[in-house]
Amino acid sequence: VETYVARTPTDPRVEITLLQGEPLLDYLDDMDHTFAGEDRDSSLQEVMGAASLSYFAGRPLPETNPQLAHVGPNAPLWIEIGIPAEEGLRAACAIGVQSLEDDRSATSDAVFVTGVRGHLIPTDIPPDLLRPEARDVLMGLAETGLDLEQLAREQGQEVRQIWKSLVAATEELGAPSVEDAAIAVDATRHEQEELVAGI
Amino acid sequence: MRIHWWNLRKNVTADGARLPPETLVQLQSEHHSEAPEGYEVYELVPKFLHALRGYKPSFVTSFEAVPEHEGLSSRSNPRWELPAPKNQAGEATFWPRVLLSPHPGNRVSSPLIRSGYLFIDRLTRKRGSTASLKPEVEVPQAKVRVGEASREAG
Repeated sequence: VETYVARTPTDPRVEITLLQGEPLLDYLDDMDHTFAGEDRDSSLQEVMGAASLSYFAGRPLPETNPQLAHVGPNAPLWIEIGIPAEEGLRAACAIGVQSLEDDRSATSDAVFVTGVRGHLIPTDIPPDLLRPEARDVLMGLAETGLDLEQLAREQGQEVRQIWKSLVAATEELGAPSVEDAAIAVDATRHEQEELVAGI
Repeated sequence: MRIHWWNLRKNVTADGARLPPETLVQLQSEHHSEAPEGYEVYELVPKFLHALRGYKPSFVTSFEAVPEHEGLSSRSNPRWELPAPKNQAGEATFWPRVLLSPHPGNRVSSPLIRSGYLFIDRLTRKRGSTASLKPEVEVPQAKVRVGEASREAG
C-alpha cells in the first residue's frame, strides 16, 4: 500500500507585533489621512481631547520582541495580549501581522483598555468619544450605583426603554457589558474632572 | 427584502465572507415589492475614526440592477472584482445598498463583505486582562504571546 498526502503550499511565516503608544497613534493618523484624503486640515493629535490622548501615553503594556509563527487556511494563529491589571491604566493597543514571504500585512482595530475598580474594561473607542446622549445615559446608571430601576424613575422612562438606550450606548462604546460601559464612562469623567482641577 | 453577496468563483453566497482581492462577486436582491433601480457599494470607516471624525462610509462604486425570475429578484451588473484594501489595516469592509424609491416598507438587510489577504478577528470581550485575536477562523493551531503579563482580574 502506498500512501500519499496532498497539501497546499507551505503556510507562510509571519511576524506578530504589538502596537501601542506613539507608533499606534502614528498608524491611526496615517489611516485617518487615507480616509480623509487631501482635504484633511488637522492631524488626529490635534483633534483628540486629553482623555483620548491619555490612552496613547507611553508604552504601558509590557512588550516582547516581535514573534514569528506560521499561519495558513488550516493553521490560524491565536494571539493573546497580556495586560497587567493596574488601577488607572489607560492603554490603546493593536496587533500587526506581517507575512515575511510576500510582504502582505494586516493590523487589527485598536482596543482601548481602561483599568478601574480592580478590573480591565476593553472598548472599541475611548469613552470620551461617545455621543453625548450615550454618555449621559451610561453616566446616569453609574450615578445610581448601577440601579436600573432608579435610573428609569429619575429619567421618567420605563425600565425596558432605558435598558434599550443603555444597550445601544454600550454597543457604541464596544464594552463587554452595560455595567462595564457605565464604569468606564464614570472613570473617564472623574479623570477629566481631575484634569480640570489640576490634580 | 434581502440582498446577498455571491462569490462567483465558487457560486456560493458570500454574506459576511472574508475573500481575497480580485475575487469576482455580484449582488443579488430578492423578495422585491418593486424592482430596484440599482446598487451602490460603500467602504466602511474604522469605528474609531467614525467616532472621532464623524466620517461616513465612502462611496466605492455602483451597478445597474438586472431583473431575473420574472422580476422576483435582481442581480448587479457588471460583475465586480473585489478591490484590494488601500488603507493601512490591510483589509477593507464593503457595505452594499440597494436603490429603491423611498417607502416606509423598504427596509433592507445589507450584509458586509471583507477583502484582504490576511484577516484579524478580535474574539473575546470578556471581563479580564486577556484579549484574544486571530488572523483566521478554523480551529486553533498555534498560539503566541506578545505581552508578558496576563493576570486575570475580575
